[in-house]
Amino acid sequence: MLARPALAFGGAGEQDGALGLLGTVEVLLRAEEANVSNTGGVLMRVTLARALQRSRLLLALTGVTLALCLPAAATASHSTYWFFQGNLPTGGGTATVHHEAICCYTFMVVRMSWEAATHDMNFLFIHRDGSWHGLLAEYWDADQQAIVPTDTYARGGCQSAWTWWPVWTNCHIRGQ
Amino acid sequence: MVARLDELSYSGSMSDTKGGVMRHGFSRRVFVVIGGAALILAAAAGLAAASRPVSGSGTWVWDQRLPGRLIERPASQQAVQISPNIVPGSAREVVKISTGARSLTLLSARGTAGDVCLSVTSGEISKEFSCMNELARRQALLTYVASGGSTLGVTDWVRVVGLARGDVGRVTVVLRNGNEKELAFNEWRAYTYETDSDTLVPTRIRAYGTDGALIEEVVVA
Repeated sequence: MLARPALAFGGAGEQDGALGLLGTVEVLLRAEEANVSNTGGVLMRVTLARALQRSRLLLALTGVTLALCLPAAATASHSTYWFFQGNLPTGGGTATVHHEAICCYTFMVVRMSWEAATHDMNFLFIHRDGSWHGLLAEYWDADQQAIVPTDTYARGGCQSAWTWWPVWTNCHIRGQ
Repeated sequence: MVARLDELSYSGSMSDTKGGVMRHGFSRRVFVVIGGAALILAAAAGLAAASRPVSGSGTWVWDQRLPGRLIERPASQQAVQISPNIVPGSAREVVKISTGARSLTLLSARGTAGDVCLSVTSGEISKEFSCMNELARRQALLTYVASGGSTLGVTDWVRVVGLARGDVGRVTVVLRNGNEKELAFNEWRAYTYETDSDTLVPTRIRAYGTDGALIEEVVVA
């Protein structure tokens, strides 16, 4: 057992970066379990391995925390601009999202953007009587705006023309 | 064109009730969605490729100039207002179908980069100008659709306008009743179609080459 850690330490430098370090830690821990810490050199290396392991654990925890928090933060900041961000159709099969006109402006502007230029998308506007009016957006320009007078239309939004292939869509409404 | 008019409305922010319902619905179905995603995407990619084949090497006959008739007052001043990427005063009317709330007008304008930009207005809706990019130039047809109905889920009328590339011999529309109808070109190779009948709603727009071969088919959802 004593020979194996020595071989492992010696080989670590020849191995490929992280893999070599991981191999070293693994072998060091095995050496510790086998009560080989009576040699000062190995004991020092075991301590080093523990420190490395702790720092890796900290790094991993930091990474996980960032991975969980950053998208949430990004979504939160976007949600103040986009009234909808998500796949259309949604998992529930809804292909249309719309929002009431912003109060007291003469015009309502809907901005729609979607991932890649692979999907046909519609601007959708709803009259006060519930009737609707849609306009197909160019699929080759995946970030567009449409404008309507608010005395004619009460709501505006975005719609996927296809119900069977979802696309990530951002929908925004503003007054002008 | 409207494929399905299920609605998800927002009276305020994403945190309202319906938004919550949407997110909950998604989480319940997410495993089903993920499970079928690979098959759906593969099928979708295949169908999309079939419906929008990259076709031919034709050019737009008006490539070095703007299509359409110069108009002093564009059909929509608002379209110009929300389009900072076009040269002021360059808007032209390429083709128009119907009048009033169900009208559809195709506009062109010169982009600030010197390119050709297109927009449509329908009734009181004005869309921002989009300047033709490489993806647009590869298409045989540039088709625009406006539609409407008395209530969400019901389509009462459809209007179509579009432009055909130089190598397109004829354009047809395939209707819901199965008939195929040829559309005439104007001097700018623009075509139109309109219907107020459910059975005459278009399902496909087809471009045939001068040799009669199908170049491109656009699915109107």
